[in-house]
Amino acid sequence: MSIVCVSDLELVARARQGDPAAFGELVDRHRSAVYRAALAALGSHADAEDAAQDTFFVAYRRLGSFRGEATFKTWLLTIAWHQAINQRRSVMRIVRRTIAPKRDEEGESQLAQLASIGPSPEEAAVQEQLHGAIRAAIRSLSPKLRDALLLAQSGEYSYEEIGAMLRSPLGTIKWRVSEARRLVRARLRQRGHVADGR
Amino acid sequence: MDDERLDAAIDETVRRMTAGEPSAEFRHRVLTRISAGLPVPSSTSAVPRSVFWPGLAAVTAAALLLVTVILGRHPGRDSVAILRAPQGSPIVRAGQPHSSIPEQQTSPAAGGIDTVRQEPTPTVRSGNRKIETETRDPGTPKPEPVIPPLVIPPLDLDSIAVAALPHDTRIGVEPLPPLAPIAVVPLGAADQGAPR
Repeated sequence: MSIVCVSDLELVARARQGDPAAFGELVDRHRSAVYRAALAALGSHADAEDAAQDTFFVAYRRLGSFRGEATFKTWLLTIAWHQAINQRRSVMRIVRRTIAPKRDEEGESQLAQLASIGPSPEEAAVQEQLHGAIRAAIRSLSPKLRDALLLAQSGEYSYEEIGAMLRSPLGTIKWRVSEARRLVRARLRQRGHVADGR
Repeated sequence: MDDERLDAAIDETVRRMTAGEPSAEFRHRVLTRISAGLPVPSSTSAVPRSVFWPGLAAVTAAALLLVTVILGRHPGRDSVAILRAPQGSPIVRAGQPHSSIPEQQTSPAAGGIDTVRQEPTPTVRSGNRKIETETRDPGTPKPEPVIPPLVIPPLDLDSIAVAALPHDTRIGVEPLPPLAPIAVVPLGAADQGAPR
């Protein structure tokens, strides 16, 4: 039987017995979700890559503690979020980000998009200005609201998975997402990026 | 711009902020680390080890110093050797195993050197309880605890003898000598000070 058709639980069982190919398949299946969760928490591709690697390494060592109460993806995402938050709080990371000039990876991608976007350069520039303002407004949110908004609107995770990651009830997550949207809209209007009238 | 379009712009921005894929060698790196058994890097701990261990050592040393100072200032109850008991009571030694007297209190007024409350030794209590649970049968009523009667040894002190005064003895009080009158003289001009 091809390993691709095997369920996560079966792969976990095989990995517990020391099958590296089974764990490799689990890595392939969930690496994007893990990576994007780390990226939402850290905002840096390099840090997200490190956190994602740590996540799979820790998960492999803790496979024995996985009891199947939640899905393997949810269990993995909780580890990923824990790793990413630890890295976010790391003293060395704060020092590194303070000393080293921040590489504007998003800026680079924006330039690439500007060159390839269909509308006129003026329209594209206006759109990019709006996206930049939204990004600044999102970054100015409190970590709880920002995390919830980024995870929810990334399109990668269900609310249950987000609740497991953030260790908060479903209703709290939904409220945080709604509140984050409201604050972002209010800040955009406050800064004149959006007309006040509806 | 209405809220709907603004929400769409927010969604698009969030998607861009969270878009990305790990590197192509991601799986290979993970499996290499697992096979090599490399430890999780220090990023998993909020505080780097180079800061954590010296900090922990300093905190431990400070805690030990504090405990030493506190113990030096307030010696434990067991260090009280002998307490003077009130008259008529046997001598109580603090820290002694449980005796027939469950609790003793002495006070300076009662002749003690300090106020000490000696609590019953918990080991003896737990020992009694243990024996009860082991010997009691569920059908039989709980036996009354055997408490030895309080025995107060007789005093071995000489009584104080007070001799009676003879009947013809009187206390002589001599009269005070007469007091000389005090003369009051008005102040003169020379006795007054300079006006302010």
